[in-house]
Amino acid sequence: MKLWRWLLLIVTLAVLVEGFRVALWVVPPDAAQGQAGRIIYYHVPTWAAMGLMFLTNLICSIVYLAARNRNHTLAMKADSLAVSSAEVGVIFCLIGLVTGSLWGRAVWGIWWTWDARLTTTLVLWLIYIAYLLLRRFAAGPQMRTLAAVMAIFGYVDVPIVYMANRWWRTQHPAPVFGGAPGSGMAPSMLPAIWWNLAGWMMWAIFLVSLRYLAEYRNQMAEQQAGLAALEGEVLALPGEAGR
Amino acid sequence: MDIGESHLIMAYAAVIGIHLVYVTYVVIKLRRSVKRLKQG
Repeated sequence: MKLWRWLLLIVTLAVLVEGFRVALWVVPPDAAQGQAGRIIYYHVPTWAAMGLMFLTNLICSIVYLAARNRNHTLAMKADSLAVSSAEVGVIFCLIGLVTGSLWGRAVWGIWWTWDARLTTTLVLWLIYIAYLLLRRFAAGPQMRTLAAVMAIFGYVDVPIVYMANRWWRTQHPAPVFGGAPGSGMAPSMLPAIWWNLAGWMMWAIFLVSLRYLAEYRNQMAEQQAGLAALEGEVLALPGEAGR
Repeated sequence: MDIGESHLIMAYAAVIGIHLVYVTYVVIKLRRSVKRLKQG
C-alpha cells in the first residue's frame, strides 16, 4: 500500500474515533428521542457517503462510454472506479437501511414500513445490486457498456430518494438538513454531525481506493491474458497453413 | 438499559460488523489481484 493510503487511513481513523467520542459523550441526547437519537450521527453521514459513491459511479460510467473507443487506458480506469464506487455505495446503502431500521424500531416501534423514502431507498439498493450482478455474471465485450448504461439509468433514483420526504409526507421525518424554513439541528449537536460526516466520507474514499486497486489489477491481468492468447493464435497460424 | 440505548448499541455493532466483513473481502480481492497480475 502506498504512503498516501497509509496517511489517509491514519487520518480517517483518527477523525472517526473523534466523531465516535463526540457523538456518544460530548453532544447532549435528543430531547424527544433520548439515546436513540444519536443514531443520526452515522445514519446521515452514511447516506452522504453513499450519495458521493453513486455520483462517482455515474461520472465514471459516462467517462467510460465516452472513452471506450478512443482511450482504452482511461476507459479501463473509469470502469474500474465505476464498479468500485458502486460496490462501496451498496455497502453504505445497506448500513443506512439497517441503522434506519434499528432507529425506526426504537422510535416508531416498527422495523420497516412502505414509506416513500424507505421504499425508494430499497429500490436504489436493489438497482445497484442488479448492476453488480450484471458485472459479475454477464460475459462478453458488451458487458461493461451495458453496465455503464444501467448505472446512468439507475442514478435517476438517487434524486428521487433525496426528494422523497419533501414530495411525499409519509412515515419518515421531514428533512433535518436542507428542509423547510426552520428545519435544522441545535448548534450544540452539530460537531458530532461534522466529525462523522468528514470521517465516513474519508473512510468511503479510502475503501474505494483499495477496491479500485484490486479491480484495476484484475482488468490489467485480463488484458494481459487476452493479449497473450491473441499472440499465441497469431504464432499458431503459419504452422497450420503449412500443413 | 432502555430501548434507545440497546438499539444505539445494535446500530453501532451493525455498522462495525458490515464494514469489517467488507474490508476483509477487499483485502482478499487485493491479495488475489497481486497474484493474478504476477501469474499473467
